[in-house]
Amino acid sequence: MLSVKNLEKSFGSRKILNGVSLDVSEGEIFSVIGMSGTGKSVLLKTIIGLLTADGGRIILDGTDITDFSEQQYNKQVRPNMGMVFQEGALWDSMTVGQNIDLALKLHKHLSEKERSVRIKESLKMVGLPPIENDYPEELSGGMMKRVAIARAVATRPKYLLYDEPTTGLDPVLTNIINQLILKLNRELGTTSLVISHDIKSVEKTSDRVAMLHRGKIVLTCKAKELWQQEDETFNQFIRGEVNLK
Amino acid sequence: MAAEAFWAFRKILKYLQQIIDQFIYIGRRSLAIVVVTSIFIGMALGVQIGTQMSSSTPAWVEGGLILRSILLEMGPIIIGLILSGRVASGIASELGAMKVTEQIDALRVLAIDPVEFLVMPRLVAAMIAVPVLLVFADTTGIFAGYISSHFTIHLTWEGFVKGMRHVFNQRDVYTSLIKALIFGIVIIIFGSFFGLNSKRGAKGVGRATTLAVVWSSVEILALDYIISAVLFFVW
Repeated sequence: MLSVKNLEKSFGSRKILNGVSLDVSEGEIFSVIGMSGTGKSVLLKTIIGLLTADGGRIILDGTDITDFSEQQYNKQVRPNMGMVFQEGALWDSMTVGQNIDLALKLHKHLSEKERSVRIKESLKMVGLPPIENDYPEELSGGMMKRVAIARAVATRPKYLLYDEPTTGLDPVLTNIINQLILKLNRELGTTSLVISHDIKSVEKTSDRVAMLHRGKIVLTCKAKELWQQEDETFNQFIRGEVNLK
Repeated sequence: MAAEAFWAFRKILKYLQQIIDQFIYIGRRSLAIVVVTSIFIGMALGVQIGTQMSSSTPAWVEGGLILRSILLEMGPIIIGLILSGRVASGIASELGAMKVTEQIDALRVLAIDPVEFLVMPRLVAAMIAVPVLLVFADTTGIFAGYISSHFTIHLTWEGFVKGMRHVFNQRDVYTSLIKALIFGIVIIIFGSFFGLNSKRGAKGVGRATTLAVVWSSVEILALDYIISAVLFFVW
């Protein structure tokens, strides 16, 4: 289980997260929605230790990881977590296969043959043909995103963090990614934290949804009850109203 | 960051392939430019020294002057400045682009230490490649100096060798290699430091690249003096 309690993060005098609290239960898909620039990505990066929290606690499976050093994160947190970046963040000087293989080669005690099988499995899992010899620049946006997901799941993490997985994709690819998130959750039993502002996708994939607004979580609800909420800000956001409070 | 990179030397075997790749990039791919530049520097030295020697100075003296100038100063300095322009800029722009496109974060998320994976292999490769390049640079520079002296003051090969033997000191070779080794470290550390700390998109990457070249060049010139002075007192 992942718990975030009163998390705070500022950049200079600008407070981005101002006491964010949420609990993600094991095996669930939890989405955080909110306007662009509200700190959704900052929240993810703080959870996985790319940014340091200014205040509050992050508890992962009962362990307080807030003040962990980079080494502690590398040993105790990141081997159990995968993250899919908004733009994929694939290493462009490496082939698709090398992108997926790198963490396996450095961290998992697998033979070359086992790694090769794992790469093929990961690509198949995200619905891609054997493109391990292609370079990221040869791929379309949707394929890049799927390779990024394949790279994240190759090490079989317990937790998967998605940063805007469907942003910039056409409706068909958006659906493919949504189905993929659900499939990985089902087949690998991963717990997923998804950052998005795509309400339709969130509704289709998530178990629960929280809205981040002005540095705080203003509401958490079940995804199937998304349209039955009374919070004015939340309703304005999901309806796309211009003058959000 | 430098300390972290040296501390990561304990994992050299894990990153052997990266070290070989970087050795090829820093060493083999810089060889042509280093050799060509050394030829011109050696030839220019031959002309300058030859034309400034008085008629009472024996011609063979020029062999020794060229040898010491290239071994002690021109070889290491030229290598340092050329690699600062070619390698430090390349590293800064590559790592800078990786930083602004979240590729460095992607490494960290997969529990891969960027300094261990990106900086250490470059450092190891440079510490081997730069002294090797220096041997090529010194050899071609000295030979080009002879050719140039031959056409300028009609110095014979025997005379040139006599001049070199007259002043040759093994410590000069060590000084030259120590300088190359230290300059190699400077180039990698400055290139990596500015690359990994670049910010704000393409402009930031450009700025990081410029800073890497400028600071590594200045540092090389400053260290050249310091190493020369220290070794003069030590030896």
